[in-house]
Amino acid sequence: MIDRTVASPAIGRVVATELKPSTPHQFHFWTGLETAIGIGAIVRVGGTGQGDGGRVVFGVVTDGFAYSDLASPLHDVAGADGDPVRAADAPTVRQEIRLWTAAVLRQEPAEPLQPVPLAQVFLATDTDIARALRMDAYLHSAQPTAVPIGLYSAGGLEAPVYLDADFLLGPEARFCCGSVLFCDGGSDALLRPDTF
Amino acid sequence: MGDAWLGALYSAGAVPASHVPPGSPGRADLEEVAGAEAVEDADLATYPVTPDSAGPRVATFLDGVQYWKVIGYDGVVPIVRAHLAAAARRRGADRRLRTTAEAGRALLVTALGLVRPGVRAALEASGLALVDIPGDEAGQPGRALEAARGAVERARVELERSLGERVAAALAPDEWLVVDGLLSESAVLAGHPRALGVIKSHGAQYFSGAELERALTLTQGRRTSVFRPRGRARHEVYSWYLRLWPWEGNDLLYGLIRVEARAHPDTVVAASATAGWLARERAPLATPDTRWDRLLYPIWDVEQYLKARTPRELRPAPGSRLPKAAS
Repeated sequence: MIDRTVASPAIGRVVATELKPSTPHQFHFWTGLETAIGIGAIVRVGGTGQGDGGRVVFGVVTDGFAYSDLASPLHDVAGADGDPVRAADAPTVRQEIRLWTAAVLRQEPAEPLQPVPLAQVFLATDTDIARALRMDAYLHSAQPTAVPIGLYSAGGLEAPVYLDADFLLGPEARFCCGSVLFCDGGSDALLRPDTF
Repeated sequence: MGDAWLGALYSAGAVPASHVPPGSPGRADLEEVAGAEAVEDADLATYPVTPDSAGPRVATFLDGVQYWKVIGYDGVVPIVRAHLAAAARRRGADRRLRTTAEAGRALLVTALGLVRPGVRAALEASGLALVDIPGDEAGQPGRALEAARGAVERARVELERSLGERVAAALAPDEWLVVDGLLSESAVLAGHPRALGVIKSHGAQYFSGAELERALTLTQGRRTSVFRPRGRARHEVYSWYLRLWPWEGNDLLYGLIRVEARAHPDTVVAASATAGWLARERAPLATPDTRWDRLLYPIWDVEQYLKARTPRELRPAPGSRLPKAAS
């Protein structure tokens, strides 16, 4: 089992161009061709002090792009003499990129809110997920009120997700009507899902 | 120490400049009259290359770049800053290129004997390698720039040679090394059984008359007989011409490369198969490079790698040097 509490090496790097700039709300990063990243994965940017100015950004992947250094589709045709089979036989595979777009979930510090730094990208750990989804306030408080509700599964990640019991019991949760929320006995709900 | 030395240089009296001479990234083409000695045939002939020759399972491609820029003038003596780099990228079973070795140098080139003592002291304190241009070559700025270009090019060739020899020494038993340019610059590379030089500029011609016509009007997919180049070659190699793309409708040199390999009978035996392998390397196309008809994609890939790592201030400005009009 992968230990998701320990930071792994960087899996990508934020890039920005005039056409695809980094903003406070969205950024783009590239990864190697072989990557666990996919739509919905949560990533962390920065936090290493190298090119990030100490800023840490959490984001969720919303889109992905792949392209090569091919200048024009016609050049692929010319290089293969018009034969798709020959195109696949070329001795060298062109340089390719996996470029991802992510929406910002959280920035630390929250103020001033600035464009995402052009820094390294890491797959989020369990701790990062807690910070990204703002669960840390009730997960690590003096009297934790976190209630586990399931797993966040995306991009090869399975991180526990919690709700705040104070929130559930408070006036902000007054619209949670007609539901039974299990704090324990989850297997009961699994075995008899239609009963509730 | 960064670029702090630049401030000292300008304080010492050098006037700041920012000029990348035309053709700076590339190598100057040399017009030479050379000669050739027949090896495979007494009279230069042409042969079809082996079709669909597979080539080696593993191949490493090596190339180098030079970027230089006039960063100042002391009087009329130009002060040139240069960046040289070379890299080797290996292609394995997955057909992808990965860097396995690289080297780089930063140079300052000027006529040290003609600059003021303060400017010279600032250059010496820069921490960069200094290359002196003889004073008699630097009396006129134009001549000084040509001398600087030559000095930078020689340094790059030396860098490529040393890296190439290092890579050649570490080649796996089934691995080949393809070098952009002359193999004959290095005794080690010229004598290596699995090293090739691919020359895409044809400043030097080795034939005349009917043989020259035969060489330069090769049809696509054919090679010339193997010959031994004379003239500039420092170390003995065998060579042949190979046409990658049809020249008709373009130019005599379109799609024409010259290959250098070890001066050994095995080179002659394998020439058609080796040429067939290199002919397959024409795909993928090395576009958008304008030399794509003669530039093998893996070599272009090495260039792109090196270009991406070149200090930005030394790359030619993409647009006009005129100030932009205010909006």
